[in-house]
Amino acid sequence: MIENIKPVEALTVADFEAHPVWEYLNDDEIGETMVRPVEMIPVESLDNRILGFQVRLANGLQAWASIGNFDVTNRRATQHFLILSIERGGEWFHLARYQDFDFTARGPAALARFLGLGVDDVFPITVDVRRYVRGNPAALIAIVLKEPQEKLTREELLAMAVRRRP
Amino acid sequence: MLRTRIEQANICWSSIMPDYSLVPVDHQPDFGDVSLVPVDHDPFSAADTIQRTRAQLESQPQQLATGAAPPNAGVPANNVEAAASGESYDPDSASGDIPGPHQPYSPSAAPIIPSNDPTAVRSHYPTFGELKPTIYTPTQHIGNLAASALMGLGIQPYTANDLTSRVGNVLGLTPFGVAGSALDLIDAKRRDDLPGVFAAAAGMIPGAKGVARSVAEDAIHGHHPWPMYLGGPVKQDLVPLPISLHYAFHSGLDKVLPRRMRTAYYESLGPTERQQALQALAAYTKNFDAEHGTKLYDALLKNGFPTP
Repeated sequence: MIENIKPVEALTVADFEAHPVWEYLNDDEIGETMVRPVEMIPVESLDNRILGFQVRLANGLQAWASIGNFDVTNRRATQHFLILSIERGGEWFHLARYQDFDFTARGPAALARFLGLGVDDVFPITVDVRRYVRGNPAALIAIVLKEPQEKLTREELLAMAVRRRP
Repeated sequence: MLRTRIEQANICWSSIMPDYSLVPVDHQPDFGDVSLVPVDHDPFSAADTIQRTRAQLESQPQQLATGAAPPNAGVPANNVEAAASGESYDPDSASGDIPGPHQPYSPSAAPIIPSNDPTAVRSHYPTFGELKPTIYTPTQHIGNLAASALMGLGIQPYTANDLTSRVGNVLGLTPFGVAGSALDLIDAKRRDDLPGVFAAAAGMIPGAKGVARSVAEDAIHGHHPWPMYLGGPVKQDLVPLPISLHYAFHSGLDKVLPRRMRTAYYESLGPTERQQALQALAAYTKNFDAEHGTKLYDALLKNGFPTP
């Protein structure tokens, strides 16, 4: 059987409809961005994984999104590192986080424009992964705000990113 | 610390297990020195046994002076009978076990000194006044030998130790099969055959022949120090990393420079933003090195990464 492997940037809504959870192969020789579907869900961890499903916008509309860096054991890490891409008409918009260097170009206002909505129609965005992951339900829902409640320095973010898991 | 070598320990193996034999090998692996640790008391206080042991020492001074094998590396000495009968060791045998010609395999027949039998220990390790030998378990020997060989090939200590502990954890270690696989390991090391070294290291565990290579290969990933999606060249010197560390590296880097943003995005960055991305990669890699004891930043520079 030929494994269903593709670059993460090639994932489509149809791929996510078939397989909501994809994981990185971490095989550098064929490319760091190659992913394959996870057949068995719910999963225990979202490390090295990308999810695709519908998120709920502030105005109640649902939009297809892909999610990465969702830490099912650390809500604070999720708050700072979550990556969210929203699909519209076959195109993906990758929302920048406050620490990303192109926040102005890809921030909340830009996403609202991409969707043809007002910023307050879009944010906060509710990201609920309970269908796909086992764990503490409270840690499986993330709210993406237009302005983060807490901002860490670059050094603090780096320290959190490399920290060993207990 | 006084260091010396002991050899005659091998002689005693046959007295412990007279009906046990191992297959012959062409030469003995070099298991290195044995450390001696000074102690304040003699744990075997019976005066007669100490005198007997000292008398034994006096009668065999030349063996002590020239010995090369550590106390628990006495497998080859047990091969005398087998060698005489012309048997040979087949490293590719299905089970990887080394039963005697007329004996079924029995783990309990392993030449391990019973820990609750001081007489047996004493017969292997005669006292040297106020010194006694450091006693390595067979498992420690296997692990140390495998890790040393891997590090001899330039593999980082964390990788070598991770591999040996991973393999040991999976399969469990006993002294059987050590000799043959040690030879495999040394041979693979001489040929600079990295996968062969991994396999031989794993193969030092009995019953692991069939799975040795896959276990070893599964345990190690070749890592691009400068990820290609961040502009790294296709051809780089891969750094062998244990899977857990490789996953940890990319999982953490995803938080800083997500792969989801795709290669084209990073390639499209302007000079300033691109410089920021490279700085972030350098800073992350240094932090990762500090946290995990790796040397990935050095490898990054060796692969042409411009110092940001």
